Amino acid sequence: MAAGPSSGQLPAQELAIDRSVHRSGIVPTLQNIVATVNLNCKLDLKTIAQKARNAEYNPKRFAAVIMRIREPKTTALVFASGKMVCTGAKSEDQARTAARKYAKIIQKLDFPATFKDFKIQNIVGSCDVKFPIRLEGLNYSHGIFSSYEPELFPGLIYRMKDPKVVLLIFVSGKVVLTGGKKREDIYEAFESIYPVLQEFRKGEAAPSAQALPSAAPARALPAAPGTTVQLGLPAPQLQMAGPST
Amino acid sequence: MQDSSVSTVYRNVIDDVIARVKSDFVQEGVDEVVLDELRVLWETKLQQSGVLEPEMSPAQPDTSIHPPPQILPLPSFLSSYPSNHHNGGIPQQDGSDDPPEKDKGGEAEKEDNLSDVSSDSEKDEECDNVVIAQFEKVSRTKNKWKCQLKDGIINIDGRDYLFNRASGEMQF
Amino acid sequence: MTLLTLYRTSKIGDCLAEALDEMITQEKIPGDLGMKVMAEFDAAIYKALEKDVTTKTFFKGHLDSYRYCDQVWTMVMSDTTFRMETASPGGSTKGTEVKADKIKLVCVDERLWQQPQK
Repeated sequence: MAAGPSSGQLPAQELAIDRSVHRSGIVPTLQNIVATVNLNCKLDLKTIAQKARNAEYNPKRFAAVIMRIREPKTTALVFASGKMVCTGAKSEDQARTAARKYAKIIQKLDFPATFKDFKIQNIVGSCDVKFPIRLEGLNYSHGIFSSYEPELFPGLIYRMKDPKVVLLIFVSGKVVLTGGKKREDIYEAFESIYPVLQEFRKGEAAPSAQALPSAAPARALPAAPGTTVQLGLPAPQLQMAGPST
Repeated sequence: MQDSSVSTVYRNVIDDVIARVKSDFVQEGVDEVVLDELRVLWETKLQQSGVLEPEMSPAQPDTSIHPPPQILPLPSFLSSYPSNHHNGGIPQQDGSDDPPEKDKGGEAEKEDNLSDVSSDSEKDEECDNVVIAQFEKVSRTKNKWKCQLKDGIINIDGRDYLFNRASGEMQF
Repeated sequence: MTLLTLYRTSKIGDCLAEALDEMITQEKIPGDLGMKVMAEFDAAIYKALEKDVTTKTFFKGHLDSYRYCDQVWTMVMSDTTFRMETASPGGSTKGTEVKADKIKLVCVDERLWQQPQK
């Protein structure tokens, strides 16, 4: 992998990152966009289930028709009230394109559907800072915002106030950001947390030692005295606690 | 093994049905000859339908005695399904053939009647091959579907295959 | 639809319905007796598939479209391979493989068989 000039972590292709937005050099990937729209007409769900392709309707378990389209790959929940929730899109444009396709499908089934009050409700992003994090320490010093109960959930939950985004931070360095209404919320939240993550990078000395230049990552342990054979020991296995998205 | 061959199973079904309704025919005062005629007619039609494996077929009935079935409209009042059941004639909507649409971006939204989203109505593709079965479980993980079925009749290229249990994996 | 009539759409069910239709039209069999025969067919084919058939089948393919409504799954699959395995009393297994470019699956919830039919 080609290394970036200033950071050992960046592949060359990421040099195009807009550093005024992404000071960390890391751009969270948008994983899921949840959007709602009002089709503005009452819907007969059974008719939709019988006529639309790739539809599931089980009214005993859930009061909506679940529909899927392949492009953009998304899922829609269609309610009898005419409200629709679209999930799975990877960008705002995709979410809107998908929602309009679903609306069109329903319109074609002879419902007077229109496309009203389209709104992005939630944006979920994720990224990987590629270093392990001392979650206990982070939790201790940011207790107002964070909760960390490894026996219940392996990640630290960080409720940022501005932007209002919830971050799940895993010891592995994987971060999930959710609750954004626009992608900038996700980006800003990550940029705000990034210096904190660096501060609690595992293997760093006390927080005061953060100024140490080019501190070696934890995995680069010197060989123990008396070790005759240099084993290609892997890094202490990082917990892959991040939810697979 | 003959025991599980399709023709053997079907022969047993025919025998079973005829035996089950014998007393009903008697009660209704219908001559037993009529019941025999029904059996022969049913067997003949089944033979001619081609669903049975050739090597297992019982002796071909003499078709000069039993003329080939007339082309009749689908049995109306005895079938529980509409005739479009197999080749469902319901127009389907999934927008999959849509040309890429221009997105309207975030501009102020008036009444969006979706007139620019094209979505041709399409019919379910004709499908002569059919599986009829019961499902025990259908599950999905992302685009990978799994199903567990039982008591099925598969018809592929006109031939029938039977199963007691089946499991399948599909990519959506 | 009632579940019990699921197998009427099979070829063997279709042939019976045709035969009955002809004989009812010729007034050899009264209509209600015809209905009774079909009802007995429903029970007989179900019993045969459950008790007489031992074949296990595995299939793999592409799911083109699906629908779940009224406890019925309908799936249209393409490029599907069916592997059928039947164990013979001798202990050996007879396997057959059949491919279908396109095939439609109609599956009813098995639990409906246990419920009283309306």
